[in-house]
Amino acid sequence: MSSIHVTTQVNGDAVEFLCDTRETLLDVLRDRLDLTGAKEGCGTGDCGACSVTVNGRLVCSCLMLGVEAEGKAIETVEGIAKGEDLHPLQRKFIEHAALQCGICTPGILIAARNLLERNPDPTETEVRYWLAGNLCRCTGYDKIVRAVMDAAEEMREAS
Amino acid sequence: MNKMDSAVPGEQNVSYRQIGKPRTRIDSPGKVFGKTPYAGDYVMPNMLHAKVLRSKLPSARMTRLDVSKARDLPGVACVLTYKDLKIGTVATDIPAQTGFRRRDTDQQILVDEIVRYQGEPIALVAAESVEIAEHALSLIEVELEPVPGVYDVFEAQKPDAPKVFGDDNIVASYKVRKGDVEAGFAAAETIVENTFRTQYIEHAFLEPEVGLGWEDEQGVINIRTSTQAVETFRYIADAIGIPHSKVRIRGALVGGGFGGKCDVTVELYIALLTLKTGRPVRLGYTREDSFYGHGKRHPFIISHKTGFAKDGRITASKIDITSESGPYAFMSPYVLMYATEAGPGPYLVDNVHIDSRSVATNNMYTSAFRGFGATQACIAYEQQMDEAAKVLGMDPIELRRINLLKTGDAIATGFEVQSAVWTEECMDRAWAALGEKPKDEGAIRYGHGIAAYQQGYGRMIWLHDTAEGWVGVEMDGTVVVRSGMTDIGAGQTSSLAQIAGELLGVDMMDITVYNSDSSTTPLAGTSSATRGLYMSGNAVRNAATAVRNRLAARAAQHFGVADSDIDFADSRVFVASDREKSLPFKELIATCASEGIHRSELAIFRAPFGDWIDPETGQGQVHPDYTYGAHAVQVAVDTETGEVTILKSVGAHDVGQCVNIAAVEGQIEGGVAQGHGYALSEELIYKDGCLVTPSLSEYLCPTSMDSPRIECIILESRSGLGPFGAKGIGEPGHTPAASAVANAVADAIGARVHDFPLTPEKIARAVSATRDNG
Amino acid sequence: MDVYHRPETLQDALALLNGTALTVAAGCTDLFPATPAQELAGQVLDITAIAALRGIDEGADGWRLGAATTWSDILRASLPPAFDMLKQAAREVGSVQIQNAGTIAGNICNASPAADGVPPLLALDAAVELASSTGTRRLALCDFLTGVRQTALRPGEMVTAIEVPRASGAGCSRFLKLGARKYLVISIASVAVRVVAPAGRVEGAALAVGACSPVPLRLTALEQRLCGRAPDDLPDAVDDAAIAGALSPISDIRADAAYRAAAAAELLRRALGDIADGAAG
Repeated sequence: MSSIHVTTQVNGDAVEFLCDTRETLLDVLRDRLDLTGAKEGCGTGDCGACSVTVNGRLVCSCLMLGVEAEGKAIETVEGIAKGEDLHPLQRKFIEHAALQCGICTPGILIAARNLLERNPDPTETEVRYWLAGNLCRCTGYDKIVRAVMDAAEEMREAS
Repeated sequence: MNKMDSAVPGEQNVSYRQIGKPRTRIDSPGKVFGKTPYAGDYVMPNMLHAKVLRSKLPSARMTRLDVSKARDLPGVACVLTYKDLKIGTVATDIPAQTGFRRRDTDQQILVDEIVRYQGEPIALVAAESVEIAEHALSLIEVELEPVPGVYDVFEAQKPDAPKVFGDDNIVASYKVRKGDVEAGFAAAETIVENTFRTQYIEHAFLEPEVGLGWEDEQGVINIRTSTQAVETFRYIADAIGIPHSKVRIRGALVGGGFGGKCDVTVELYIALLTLKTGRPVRLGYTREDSFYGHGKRHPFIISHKTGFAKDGRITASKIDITSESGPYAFMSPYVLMYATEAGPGPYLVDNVHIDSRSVATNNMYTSAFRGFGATQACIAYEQQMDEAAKVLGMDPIELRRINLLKTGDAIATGFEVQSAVWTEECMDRAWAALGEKPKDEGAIRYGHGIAAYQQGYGRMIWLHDTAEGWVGVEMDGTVVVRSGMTDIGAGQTSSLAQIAGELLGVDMMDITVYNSDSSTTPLAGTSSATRGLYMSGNAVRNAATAVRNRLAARAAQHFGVADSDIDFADSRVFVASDREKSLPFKELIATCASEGIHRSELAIFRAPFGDWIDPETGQGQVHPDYTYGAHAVQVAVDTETGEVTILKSVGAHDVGQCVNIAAVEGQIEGGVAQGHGYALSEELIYKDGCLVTPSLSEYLCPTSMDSPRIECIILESRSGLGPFGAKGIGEPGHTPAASAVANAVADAIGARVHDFPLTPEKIARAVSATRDNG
Repeated sequence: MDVYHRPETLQDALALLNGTALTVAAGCTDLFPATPAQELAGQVLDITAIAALRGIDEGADGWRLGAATTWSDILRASLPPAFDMLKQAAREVGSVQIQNAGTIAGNICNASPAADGVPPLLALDAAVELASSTGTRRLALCDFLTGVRQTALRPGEMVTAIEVPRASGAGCSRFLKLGARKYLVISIASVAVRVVAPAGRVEGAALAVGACSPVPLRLTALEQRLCGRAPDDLPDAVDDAAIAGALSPISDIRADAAYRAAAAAELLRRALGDIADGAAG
């Protein structure tokens, strides 16, 4: 077992940490950086609750090692709002009641934001496809899909 | 999406300021920031990490257990086996807030000799890190000698079957005898017989079980955990051998429950390890632990024999029900009771004969799951109705219409339902919302399916259910609510804020709800059994009403009007007949405070109390009241591959009164998706007691790609027993969804698959059987 | 995990592999879930930092897909229609999260009978480039995969690239899979079909079936029968009995053998029909 020094960027801030080589990025975020927004729903990449972006790529942080974050830019749910100002996706999730228990919400928000950065005008099918790696057991997805579509529309109008 | 229907005639004047509105829930903002702490997010200094060693075999005798190497591993603080336990057993009954006599259904905490299911805990480890705890597990030496087990409910009832529970493997049995079923069959023109089977399924809440325990300065074992039931503190205290007053369960916001977080799981192990080590202990299940570590939905085998008169009226209903309990009782007797009570469905049947039993096996134990047996009953009675319509050559909607219960009719147990029974209206609205069925094209065939239902809400009346709630007004006019009710994501706390806010004229966002703490919030019982809003909402309504009445009396004195002329809104108190006369709410509060007028109230709500139904006839009252509704589904079935696509899904329910319409829709939509998975893809497969699907890549919950748009049609009869006439909707949204899918598939392919789930393979085989037959 | 290596050059990676028992990690999307307690044991060699192993190059002889090329890289690459089936498979190997991390070499080295990436690569006549500190060798993909979760990798060797010959870049292609859920699901059956029919007659066809045999298979006899036919006639050439005879599906929790074989035949007919309809994209 050995600890490795990792220099990275998390939600725009330069961050350094020491981590054990076997720790996942999710472990590092939760246990070392106190960013508990990302959740471990399965540890096998099947539920998406731990979704974050790494250099703009959406990944399951439970399937990535913390040491792989060296030199990368990580974005988590905690970085979506600018201070108290909610991102349009966050506002629309509240408006559409697109969340219940809320465990899947951080991962879904990260995934949805990643989609809208690539495709500002997705079809409903494209939204459903993109979010299919994020299981939700409470909502039936309908309100989530609607909230994402609505946020996309608002963001298009604002840009 | 939703369509609203207004109230019953005579109550058109009811208008609420907050109730029934699609208000933002008070818990939503924290959740979208990712900042809401869940039970798994808490840590403490000097905290230990726990792990559970489980049996790999489902039926075995433990011949050796040596934990000495694990104990010697540096970093291991504690290893517990059955030898270290003071008591050894824990109750598996409903966590009672009322003190009714517990059934004798205790379960061993750790295996002392006999293993009865795969995953049964053998030892507990607490260590300085998760890695050390895992390493310690691998150092525990266990020898298990396989013992012949029984894995089939019919095998288990044979005289020579291995005994898993009692001397006959029967965990519970009931009967219903109403009218004369043989005379009913004699009078029938047509008799239809079918047997339907449902499978083991998993709650698959996204947050696996987790908790953190510590001992405080008074020697109280505190456990912050993800639970639907803080009342389990009593069972935990009994199991670890300390007074009830020395265990405190503090719930966090729960990451999904669906019935799967009612029973005691991690919190007991945490309590034992905390008590032993004196240090904080965290235990978080992995997903795999969760698959092995909590009770599942009961598989049922339900046979219907139904007699129909020429006009389609049901003349007799004979039903045989078998559920699988696994090796321990847990909720099995109650779940069986629900299924028995719901046996013939929301139909008026004068001649009913039901035999039911729950059978022990060495498969995984089963317990509460949204619908609690009424869901499985619905899967049988609604498929039976469609099969009967086919045999009778009748339209399935019309066959139901002829037989549906109406307000005031007696259900199978003879109880006459006093609230509105709007099933027919719900059925018609849901069915109409499907629109035209598309024309078949190539291998793709389209089908429409309907399912009506009856689901009790609240506890069985012989459990004498009560809930307490506290409401108080602060000096600045903000309001505090205290309720032991847990919030499992359905908006329980938010609804309580809305209720108190409505009555006190304070916006719900100015209300703080303390909840889910067994020591400091008045106990309100579990968030299960569709009783959360009904029970805790009524308790909070009672408390808020008492406070309101005292404040109104003082305001009436101030304005020189009658108490009844005082109203509260927008944080002001005013004279209803002359709104110019008003005061800021906080000024009234200041006056009351200076005069010693009590600004808070602890109230209790008692559900109807009653006795057990007659054990010989099954006649009597089981539930306080029932929710009724219907679900309609349009599917496309690929007849070559057997794949099903759900195109439309419409739930129509009489919810009595919406408190928060967005939350009501959320319950329906989420319940529907869970029902779709139940019908089509979800199955825990046990092979000789061993789980072969212990991951979310093998256990297939619906994804956003599998789920259709879901339409909610919400009717409000204002006739329920909940606050403002609400009925429960937590379970009912789910109850008919799977049955409707099954009926739609059968409609599409012209054949019935009697065994859930309706996998592509089973459907393709059913299609090819119809081809072979002609 | 005792030691974690993440070299940036192939030479360093091969030097590490020489003489040490290492688990090669290339995205971890299969590796982590297969590992108890989500913890990798022993020494791990992560090849995803080796820039030379990532990306797709087109040369005179054909295409070279670096071992650490992710499914998302494949989806974004500019490739001829013959690769459409590989892109369609890439969209099905898992969620977007998995496509972003999972790699082509990881998929073939995991050697699952149901690996979605393998049938399209078989239908592209792919070869596997294997390197060790002593040299490099090539194996046809069908020879590389030797059984359920078994490959021809030798100690000290790793996959460095997948190569597709120029000739196999011809034609139109289609991938279809069947599972018990719409998406994110382990295949009950999957098919990859590539048809070369420049003048309204089939000059060549490549058909591969996954999840119906220990290793995904090419259906060479059927390929022969398709030659010379008009594209519209292709679906009719798929004979259920012959397909079932060529495959050796297992019965397991996901489906029984007969259903798998029948489903494979139906998927082949549909894939061929889609190609005839020009709807393969």
